[in-house]
Amino acid sequence: MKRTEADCIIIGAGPAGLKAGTILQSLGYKIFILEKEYQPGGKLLLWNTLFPHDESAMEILNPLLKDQKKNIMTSVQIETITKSPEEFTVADQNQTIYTSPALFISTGFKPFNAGRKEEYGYGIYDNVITSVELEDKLKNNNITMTNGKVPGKVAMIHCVGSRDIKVGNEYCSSVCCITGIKQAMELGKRIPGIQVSCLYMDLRLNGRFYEDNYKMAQMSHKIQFIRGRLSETNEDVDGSLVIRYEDTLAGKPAKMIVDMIVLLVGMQLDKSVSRICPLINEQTGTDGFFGTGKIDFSSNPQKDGLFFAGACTGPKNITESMNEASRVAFEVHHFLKNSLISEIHDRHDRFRLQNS
Amino acid sequence: MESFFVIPFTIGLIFLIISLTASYIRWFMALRIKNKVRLKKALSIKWLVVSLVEVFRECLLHIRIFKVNKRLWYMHMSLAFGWFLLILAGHIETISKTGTFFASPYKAIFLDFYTRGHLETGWSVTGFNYIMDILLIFVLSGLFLAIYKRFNAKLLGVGKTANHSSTDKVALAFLWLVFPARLIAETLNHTFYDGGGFFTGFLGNLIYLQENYNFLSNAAWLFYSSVLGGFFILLPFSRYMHIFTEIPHIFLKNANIEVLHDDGITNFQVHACSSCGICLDTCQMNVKTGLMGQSLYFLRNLRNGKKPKENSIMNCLMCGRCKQVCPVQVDTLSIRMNERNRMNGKMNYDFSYLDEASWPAFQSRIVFFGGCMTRLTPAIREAMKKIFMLTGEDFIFIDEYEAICCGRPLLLSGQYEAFREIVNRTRRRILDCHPALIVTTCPICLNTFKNDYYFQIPVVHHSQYLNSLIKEGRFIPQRNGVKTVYHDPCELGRDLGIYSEPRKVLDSLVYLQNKDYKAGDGLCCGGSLADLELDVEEKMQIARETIEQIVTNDTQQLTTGCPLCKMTFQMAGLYPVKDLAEIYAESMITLPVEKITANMKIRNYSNMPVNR
Amino acid sequence: MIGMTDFGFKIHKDQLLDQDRPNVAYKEMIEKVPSLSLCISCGSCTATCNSSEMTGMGFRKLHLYLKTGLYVNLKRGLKYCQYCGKCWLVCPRGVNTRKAIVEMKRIFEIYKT
Repeated sequence: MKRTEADCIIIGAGPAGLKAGTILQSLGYKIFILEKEYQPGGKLLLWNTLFPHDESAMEILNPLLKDQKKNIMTSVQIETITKSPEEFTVADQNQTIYTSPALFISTGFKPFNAGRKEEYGYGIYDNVITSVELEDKLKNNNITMTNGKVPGKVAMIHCVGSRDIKVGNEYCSSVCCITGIKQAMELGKRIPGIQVSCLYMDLRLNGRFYEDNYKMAQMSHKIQFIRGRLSETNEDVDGSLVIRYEDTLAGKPAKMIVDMIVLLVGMQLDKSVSRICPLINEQTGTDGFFGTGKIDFSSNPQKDGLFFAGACTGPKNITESMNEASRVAFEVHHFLKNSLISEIHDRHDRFRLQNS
Repeated sequence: MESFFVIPFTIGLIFLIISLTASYIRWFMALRIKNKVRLKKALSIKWLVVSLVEVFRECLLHIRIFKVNKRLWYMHMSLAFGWFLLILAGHIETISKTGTFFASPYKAIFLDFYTRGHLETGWSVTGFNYIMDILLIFVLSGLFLAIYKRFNAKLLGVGKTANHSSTDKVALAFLWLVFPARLIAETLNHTFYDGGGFFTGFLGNLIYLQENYNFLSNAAWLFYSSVLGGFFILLPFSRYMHIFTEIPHIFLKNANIEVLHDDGITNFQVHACSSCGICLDTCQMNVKTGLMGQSLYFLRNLRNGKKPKENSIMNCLMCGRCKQVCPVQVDTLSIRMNERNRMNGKMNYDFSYLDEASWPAFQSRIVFFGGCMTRLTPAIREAMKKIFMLTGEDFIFIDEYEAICCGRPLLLSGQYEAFREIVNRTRRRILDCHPALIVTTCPICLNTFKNDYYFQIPVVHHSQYLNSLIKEGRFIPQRNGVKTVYHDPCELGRDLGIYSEPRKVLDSLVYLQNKDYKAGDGLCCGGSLADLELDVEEKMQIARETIEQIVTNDTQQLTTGCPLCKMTFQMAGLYPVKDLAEIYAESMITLPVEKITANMKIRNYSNMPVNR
Repeated sequence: MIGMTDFGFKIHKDQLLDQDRPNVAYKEMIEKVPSLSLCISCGSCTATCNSSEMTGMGFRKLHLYLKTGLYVNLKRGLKYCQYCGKCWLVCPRGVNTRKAIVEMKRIFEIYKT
């Protein structure tokens, strides 16, 4: 059994965890970043380019990983998390024990399991894919259907597993709209003549330069925006997909034959950590994410040394995730400083007692 | 004239007899012609004997409650059977003492009053006293349980007790007083005049009072008489009407009388309900309280002549669990259906647009009918298509590209005329294909096809079809070890009795964890189309409770034979859910092609189960 | 002086939705089916509807007609409903569509004479 002590343990080496790690390290703290995958980077690894400026995901990731290699423990399956008044104890599958006074949770999100929306046909029809799978295709520059052909007509379905009471996710995942537009434009760039239609309930493009992307999608790539929500998918004899929706602006039920459907899946809390630790699970809010979502949410649980940041506190884009991580990292710093000071006071008191 | 005290009892009894006779005649006259004809046809010695036996078993011994809950059974049985025996023994005693067969009822009931002072000995007198005391103790023990149940229902194995109306509560108080009143009367009778049995005699000896207090004895008899009379007067207005109504109810029930709309039979059924509350424990609608939609309250409102509120009529999953456990076998579903029909039956509809749609009608051996719900579950749809193709069937997927409704949702909402309209169209459309067999994946459609379509060809659930494939050796699937729990859809299990086929199919495909089943015990998934009141969260709550009840610790997946159940469980999202067709189709892919073509032959579907 | 009416056109009152008029029916419906107010007009219900393909109606439209007071259209559309409940199943907001249709039928007295 190996026992290692640190000032702060960060669970999850995604953008938030790495950002917090970088900051805390630069402040001189000893940290560990535990990652369950074999590679750090979190969901950033799944992405090729990022909205709104088409930055490469690796460009964002590499600076975060710099000087951090030794702190990151990959392929760590956390088995228990316990808390004593002074410190958290985290044990992994190899019985390695990490202890620290502060625990920083940045476990991020998990894409919605699109198979739960059975009527969309994911997992049943081959050419129904999720946005994550499309991004993978874009990364490998291999945008083909199962029959090897290049799709000529693609429908992007917004709000899959978001804003849907029937799957229990009533929140907006906030990044799918812009992801859809980014991917639609990408498809337009890669495949000349492709016709992409976005089926949306509401377009929620509330970030900086998002509206520019929207305009660009309309102007340069002739992407069709249809206000309607997919209700049924059917496969035609030739393998093309027949989708049914209502064009709510035209006020008419409609059907469309497409080659490929991309489901823009929403975000859900990754429960792998909260499942094993009741203390963390207690912090789950009504929407299934950590924390209360109040303006200064982080003020409450930190007193115990438990901090949350990133997409595990609600759907976020990478910028927001890293921003929150930085802010919370400074709160960790504050917490550690105070506890160090109180520790010194304690020692001082004990010293005086012994001498008197 | 000391015996004036019998007046309250006699008035009560006369009132009761007149009131019951009047009601029964009125309700009987209100029977529909169709039901009267049925009754006439049913008249036979066999019917009489069967019904009399059932009256004895159910009205007195309460055998059906015995099967549900032993302690509750003792409570009901001791009160009903004990009281009956008390009356019976009292009458025999009266006959033996007075020598006449037709003694007035009050003589029999208050026999100890009339025989007091005539101190007779001999085994017949002491013997009767002994028996009467034993019976009184028997009844009092039941009464004790009944009172105890009010304070601690759990001890009697009852989760929820009924919330009774004020009339019922008053009648209940009178009923509870009857037996203690008799005990007091008998005891005091002994104190002053001797002649009680071992129990009342013993109690009577405990009390020492001077001779001139003997008016107390008369007062006690008056009290007993008044309590009885009061109870008799309250009886027709309270739930205790069931005591007598259950008898004609059993006779009518055994004559196969249907609970039709605006029919006198409804009155018999409604008044036969004892509000015992056994159905409350099985009802899954406890998630939405305050609407009084549960059968007990629903029937009570009907009994009291109050029209149930709209939302209470609609607030029901129509799963039939209450009907299943009802010890009186009240047809709760039909009564509710009739109320829905009264409420919504006259609503206008217009399905002429269906005429404009032209549909292709290929002659096919099999018509595969997915139904509306299968349109939202493409996995089931594709699996069935695959199975038909791989087994080389000549089939048509009749609603592959547009939905056709079987009509049941309209029926369940009470719009009967509109329902018939849809039925006619859908029926014609199916028959246009001249099929030899109709297969459907939806138990809701199957239920309608079997009950309302009057097809001359077999209609089967896909589990039955798949089972026949396995049985005939056309496809022997490979079994995998996935730990699976099968959920019985209400319409497939309780309504149509199809329990074994899906289990047989699954048993040859996966590791089925609930191979054993108890017919009629299945839970509703919560997604029932019959309910109009529940919101999503409440439906999900029912779904989650159902899942938690059927799964075990190591269950890996849920299966069901109903697309609506599947969708509801998927929404609840606790376990992966699959239809049995999906599992079957998955295991089929491994089949070599030669084997499939060898399977191609014209099949005879005459061995398939035919409709009712 | 040129009067305001002299521009050569006038607004046709008939084409205006007068939202100042109190919509009693809608208010009553919201009371009976509170979830109706959650509708975001996404159109899932119409897309999945059994009869929309042939009639062009769907729950979204019925709701819209009710909200905007186009009762004549509403009455026509209500008759087409087959009640299958697919609209309820696909609705992302959990609107109790079937109850809403029954209540609308009741309010507008769509009964056979």
